[in-house]
Amino acid sequence: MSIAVKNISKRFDSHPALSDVSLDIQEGELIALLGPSGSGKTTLLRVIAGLEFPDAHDGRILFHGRDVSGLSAYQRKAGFVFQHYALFNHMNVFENIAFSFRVLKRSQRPSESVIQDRIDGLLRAVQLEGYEKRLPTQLSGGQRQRVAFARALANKPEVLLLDEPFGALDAKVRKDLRRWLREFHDSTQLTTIFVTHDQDEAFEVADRVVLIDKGGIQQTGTPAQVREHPANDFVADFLGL
Amino acid sequence: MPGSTTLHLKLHRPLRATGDRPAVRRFLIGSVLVFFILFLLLPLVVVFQEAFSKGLAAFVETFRDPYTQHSIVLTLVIALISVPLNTVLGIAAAWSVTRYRFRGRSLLITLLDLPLWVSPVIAGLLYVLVFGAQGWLGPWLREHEIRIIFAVPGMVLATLFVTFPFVARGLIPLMQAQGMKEEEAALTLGANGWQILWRITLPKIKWGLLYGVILCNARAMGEFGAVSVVSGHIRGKTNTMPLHIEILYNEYQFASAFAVASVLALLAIVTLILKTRAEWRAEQELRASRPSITP
Amino acid sequence: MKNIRTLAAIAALTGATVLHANQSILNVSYDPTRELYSELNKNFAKQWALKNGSSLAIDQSHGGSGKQSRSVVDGLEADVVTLALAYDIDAIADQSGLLPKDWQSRLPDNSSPYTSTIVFVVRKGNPKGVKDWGDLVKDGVKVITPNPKTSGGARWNYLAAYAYALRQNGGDEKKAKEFVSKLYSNVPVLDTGARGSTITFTERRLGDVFLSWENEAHLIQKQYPGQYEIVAPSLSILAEPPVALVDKVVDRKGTREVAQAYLEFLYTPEAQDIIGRHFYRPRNAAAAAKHAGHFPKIDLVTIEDFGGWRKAQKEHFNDGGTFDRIYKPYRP
Repeated sequence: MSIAVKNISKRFDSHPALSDVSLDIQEGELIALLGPSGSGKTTLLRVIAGLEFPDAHDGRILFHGRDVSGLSAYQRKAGFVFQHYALFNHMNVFENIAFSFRVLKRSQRPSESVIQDRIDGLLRAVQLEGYEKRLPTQLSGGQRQRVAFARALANKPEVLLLDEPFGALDAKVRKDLRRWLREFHDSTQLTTIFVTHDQDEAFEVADRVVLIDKGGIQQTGTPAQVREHPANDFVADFLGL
Repeated sequence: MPGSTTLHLKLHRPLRATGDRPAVRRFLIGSVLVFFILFLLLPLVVVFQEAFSKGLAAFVETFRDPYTQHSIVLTLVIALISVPLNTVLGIAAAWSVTRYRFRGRSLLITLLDLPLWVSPVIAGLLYVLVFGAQGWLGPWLREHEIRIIFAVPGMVLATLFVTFPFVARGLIPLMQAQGMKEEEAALTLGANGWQILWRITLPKIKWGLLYGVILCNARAMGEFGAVSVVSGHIRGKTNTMPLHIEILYNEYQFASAFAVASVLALLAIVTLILKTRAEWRAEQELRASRPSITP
Repeated sequence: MKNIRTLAAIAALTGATVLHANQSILNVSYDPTRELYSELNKNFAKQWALKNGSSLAIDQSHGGSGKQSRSVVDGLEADVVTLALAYDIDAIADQSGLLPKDWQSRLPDNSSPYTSTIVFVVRKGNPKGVKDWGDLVKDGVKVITPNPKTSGGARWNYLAAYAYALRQNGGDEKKAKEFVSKLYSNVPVLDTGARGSTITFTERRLGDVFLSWENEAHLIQKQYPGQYEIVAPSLSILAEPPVALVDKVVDRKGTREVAQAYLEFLYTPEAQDIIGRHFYRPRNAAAAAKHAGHFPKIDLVTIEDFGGWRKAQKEHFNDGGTFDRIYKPYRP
């Protein structure tokens, strides 16, 4: 699904988090929003997800050319993975992943066997077979992250949004998960946006990198373009060029 | 030199931690313990001793008295009305101040504590001023045959007032610390407001909530001042256990007064045990909500 | 099956009538009358049920007389009030209009079915040798009496002391005020109600002499056999605790008939005997004679000697009155 962000502004109290941001993302792209903390990258991701609503000017969010500005997060069919996973600690792994089915109206809910099959498939995809009955507190950080992925994917979203997906993991696990994400994306071609402050991560995984600072987009391009032709001092400075 | 290191530590550890000399420390701990035994533990023992001073038969007889029975029932009824109401109100208040930013939010947080700052007697008098026959709403209430003051509704209102802060105050710090990421996650997974409340938020805060409810209940059953002002002291009608204890005591029925008091004291002990357990679980709840950095 | 159900229904209904009386009235009274009305109520309810075939429940509320008066003004739905002194019922009439101002002339004997007076209670053997009011102002004698601002009995105590001092000093008000000032500086605790003071004197064992309602003094002797003695002073005051129907309440509740009958019952020989047994001085001559042994002859002044309750209240007990001016807290 293609995504278009058009002239989005967002203020918190009096502090501007995003000012007049526009961005086009093609179907099947894997995009990194890269910038220092407080730059507005997470806010942009949350605005796209529908967790944050932009200030009412003439800003719009289009999914596949359709205006979704007024739709809830769920109606946008966007899967979201939170920075610290936000797993439901009182539910086991299976119920965490099944949550999006459990909250459906009875008439729309798939049968228990369909849910079971779907979750078995997801657990296989994230390599967590046999962990159904574990509670989140009994999992390692990497395992929790993969449960969060599976949960976000359960209801077949058309876009996947990840907030600092590897931020809280140690170096080894982070590397494995990066590779896993890249492979997962190659096999599914699911439009994916992730937020990171780590340029290695952005350059290694993403098709295109969006550099953000002070609430505005500083440069957009492939890793090679950005590295070879930094658009301004901020980009050059932030990348250490 | 390892020896001098240990010596150094021994000498300086308590000093570094608190800045107090050992003598001061011993004195403080000692006086707190003496105070605790003299003014808290001993009276509790005396309550039970006095309750059985005329034997088990007299103790049982106290609870066969219809006025005593009524006071127990009334106390339970008032708690049964005011505790669930305050639970719902407390959750709503905690939800509002931790989830939304709005005008008057900090004022609301301050006002939540008001019942703890105002003497219960004043709270009772305020209700008399508003709902009493000479009060603002008095004439209107009389015209419509609605009795509030010197009747059960007034006692429920007074109890609601004094017990209001407990649930909200227990929840606000917990909900603030927990944040609302899980709720947001549920939202992106298609849950509506009710589903988020029932499936995510309540399970997250259940021990903190229980802790607040237990405190709220203990206060509701034990409240004397505010309820005394609005009760009218009609025996068999508007006497709760604490008020009944006072009446029995004033009627020279000391053993009976202490028998009823022992039930309240027992309730306090059970409350303390439940509270400690809920507190412990609430702490775990809080810890579980913190993101771990382990792989 | 059907029969069982009918039987159950009948049982439930009859059970209900036993538990829930057809009619109920509320008697709002002062502190020391708990035991008295508990017995009077039982007798009247029985009589009423026999005569009318319908059951009657009489609810009681007790507390400091002034406080109870205030509660009725604030909406406590008393069918009858039975308080410690006429002023507290005057206050209800003045402030709420629930009953007419001439309420006191509606029943015999100033609407007081019994009288009482103030006596001294001392510990066994009278260790401080207290005989009369003059002994109460001596150094080292600790006196227990409640606060005249809130307690009815305390106001009688105060006025009795004042009357004694007036008589001793040939009517010199300045000297009388000095006397009561000295007396109250010997009071270590001012409770809000008479019963509170009793508990202070007996259970907390504070003070050497307790200024008490005569009936309360006898009750103490009964509760603590052999531990206390009653001392009758040379002069005391005739207390006339009055009773009254609260017209607006009984008319709203439709209880005028039973409430009126209840108050009239208090004057019957049967009730007067109960009154005497509880150590209140009966109005009825036969009952008075029967219980005369409990009631020593004391020279009694009356509230009329102070110009009536409204005047006495204003002069002595209202804010800024004599009591406020003479009261010096106890310093050990």
